Amino acid sequence: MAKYITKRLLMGLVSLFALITVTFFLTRLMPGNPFDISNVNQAVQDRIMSYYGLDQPVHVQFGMYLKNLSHGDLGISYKKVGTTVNQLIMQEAPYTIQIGMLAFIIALILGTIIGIAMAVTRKEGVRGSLMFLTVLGISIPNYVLALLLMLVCGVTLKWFPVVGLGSWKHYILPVTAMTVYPLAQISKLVKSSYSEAMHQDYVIMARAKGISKVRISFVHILKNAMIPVITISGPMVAFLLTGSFVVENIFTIPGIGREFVNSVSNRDYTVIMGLTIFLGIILVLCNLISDIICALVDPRIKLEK
Amino acid sequence: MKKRLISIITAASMVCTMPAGTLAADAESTQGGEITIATVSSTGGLDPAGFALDMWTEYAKLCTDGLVSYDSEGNLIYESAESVDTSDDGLVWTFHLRENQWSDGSDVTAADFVNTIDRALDPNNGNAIYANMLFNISGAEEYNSGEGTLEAVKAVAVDDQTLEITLDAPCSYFLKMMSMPVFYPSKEGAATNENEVWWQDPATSLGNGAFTLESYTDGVGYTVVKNPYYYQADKVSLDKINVQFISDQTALLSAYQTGEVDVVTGLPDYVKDQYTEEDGLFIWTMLTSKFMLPNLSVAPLDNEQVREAIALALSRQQICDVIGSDYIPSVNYVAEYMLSNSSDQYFKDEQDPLFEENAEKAQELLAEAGYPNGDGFPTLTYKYPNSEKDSLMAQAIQAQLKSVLNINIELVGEEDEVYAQDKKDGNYELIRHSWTADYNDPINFLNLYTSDSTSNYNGVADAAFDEAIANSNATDDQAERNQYLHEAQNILVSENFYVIPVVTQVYICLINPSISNVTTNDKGEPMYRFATLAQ
Repeated sequence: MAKYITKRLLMGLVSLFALITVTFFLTRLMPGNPFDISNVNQAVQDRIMSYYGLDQPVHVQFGMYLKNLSHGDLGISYKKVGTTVNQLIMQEAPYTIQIGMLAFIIALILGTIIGIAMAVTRKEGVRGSLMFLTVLGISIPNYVLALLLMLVCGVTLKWFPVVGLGSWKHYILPVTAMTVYPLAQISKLVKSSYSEAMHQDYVIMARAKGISKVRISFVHILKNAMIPVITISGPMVAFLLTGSFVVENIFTIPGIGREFVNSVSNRDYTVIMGLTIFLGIILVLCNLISDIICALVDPRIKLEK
Repeated sequence: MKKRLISIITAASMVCTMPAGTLAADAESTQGGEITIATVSSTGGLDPAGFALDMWTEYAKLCTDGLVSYDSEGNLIYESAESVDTSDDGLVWTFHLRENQWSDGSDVTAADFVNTIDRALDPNNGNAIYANMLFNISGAEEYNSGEGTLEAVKAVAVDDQTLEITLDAPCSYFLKMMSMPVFYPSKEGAATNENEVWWQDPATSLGNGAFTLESYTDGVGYTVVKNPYYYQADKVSLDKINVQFISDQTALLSAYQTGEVDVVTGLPDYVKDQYTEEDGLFIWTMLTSKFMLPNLSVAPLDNEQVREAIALALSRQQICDVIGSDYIPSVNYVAEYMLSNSSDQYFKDEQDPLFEENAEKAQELLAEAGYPNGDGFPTLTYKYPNSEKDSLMAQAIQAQLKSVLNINIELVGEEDEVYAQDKKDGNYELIRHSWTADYNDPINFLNLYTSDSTSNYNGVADAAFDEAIANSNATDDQAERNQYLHEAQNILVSENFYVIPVVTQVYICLINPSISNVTTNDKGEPMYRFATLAQ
């Protein structure tokens, strides 16, 4: 196990390096620069560029960047005066992680319940309507949902506030907007794997032994039915933790997702790089963790392969 | 349409420029209260010597008083300066400061103004985007470029109440430039270049205006509270103003509708049809001009007749009907709402329109240039930033030039930064350009096209134009200067069509109707420092 984890982490490092290199050169290939603001005098702009070393050849800049990175220094933001990228991440990640984890936990719990309900119910009407809602949840893009929630529950009904994350009430609309897609995905997945597991021999065996229905459902069947869910949880958590530009922008949440998109249009090179690395690390870790959990749940899965 | 808009603007500005007395006496308004303002931009910071963009402007209107400012009619208002003397040769400007205190109770001194100027010029300040606005001060450009010394910069505190600035050459619009961040004070000793984030900390980020910073949260917003030491504190009614960063247009409008914010700026144009002044509609007449820039080194745009034909062929009203009611037709390069220096009119109203749209004359001009009915005319590209409004404007221009002149325009929408780079590199045939005034004087538009200007992106090199600008700078008689400025604009537009004006823009804002006593400044911006809140 330890050997496997080390190997995966090393591979993760290699992918991160590739990611850093590609992103670095791609950002420098984009036309424009961080100080290209409409009314700023060219001479002043040139002086600021050279102050930040942005007039150096790109490979020299890359060398400098790697050197700083090896000390864990992601540089300073060009557009947010006096703020280091490390600070920016420390400050913004908590908002995104809160929203993302809440959305994931709700999606996981509700999704599992709805999935089981769809699998076990004998009422066609219930199954049909749940299925309909699931398909709807998967097909509505979150920018439509976020706007809809904001206009209906915020502006028209005035149930919830729509700006920022001041109180618990502020969380409801953005978390809902983030939850619906993973919720629908998990429900659908649980439904199919659960119905498949229900008809396995070991379930019939367990029934024959007279084990209680609840125990069979939640221990015997669910354990098996959850494996595909755990597998997709890795990328799903990574997706939720990296934040949604749309949801963060619409509900004015100062998170990573919004910053990422802004930094690209601002040509804030160091912020683009810092966030890319941060998101890369999250993706590598989430995938690794979901693989490990899979192996713990189902000993038949061999990690060392 | 146009008439209605003008009446809205007039009505809005009347409401907002009502004398303080009438509203203060209103039985409904009370002292105290708290309002929330939404601001779109969170780029940059609050350091006047640093990256001072829109976020700073919003803050400065509340918390910092500069030397002088101008009201909506262009009248000079003395802020931190009580009086200003100019030497006979127009080079030495002496500002006599009034007695006023920072929010910690310490005196506002001339050294605080020098502090900002020196920090902005510091060659090791990597954020001073407006350093060039100080370059007409003796020794400033040399120090900033690393060749001169700080001691040689001729902006000095003679004593606590006297600030003396010596210029290299006379500058009759120098007081207009006082609205630039680099002329605002920052507390000496508290605001330093060593601490780049001094402006985030209320202990060092002091105010000498109506309010002062209470807290700042990066990415979220900031809060300002009434400054008890302000010399006009008795006129300040509100206790607290929250400023919140909201970038999404839909979110802005929703936040106003839910009552979470009281003031929103930069709304979509349909808001103008849904709200009236009673509901809080406010039109901010920006000092902006959006125009087409023909690349003068590309044939056939090097031919004046061709440029004129394009300018005359456009129907600007139709273009605005397509783009939206926050755009207004304009045949002026200097912004429509720029006030004149020598009359109480707008600059544009002091002379006949620069040119009149005329489809037939446009066709004749094109024929004279050798392209009758557009025959043999090459396809030209028109580049523009990829926003919705600019795309609509581009399509309207393309359709009109096709139907009137029978010439083909290929549209190239580009991402903002790509567009900016192409514009700067001269990599275009026709390009949309836009300029918003830094300070309220026509020279801020016109001096972009002198032959030595770094913002002269299409290669205008006209001796007569350079001379008109030089003449305008050399005189201190405002009426005479104004003549030269008009002459310069005529050369730029109606004589040569180096630039082709198309539209101007207004900002649509909503201000909670329970807030009264909102004033406007010479840039049309709403000001809340003396605002009152009805119960």
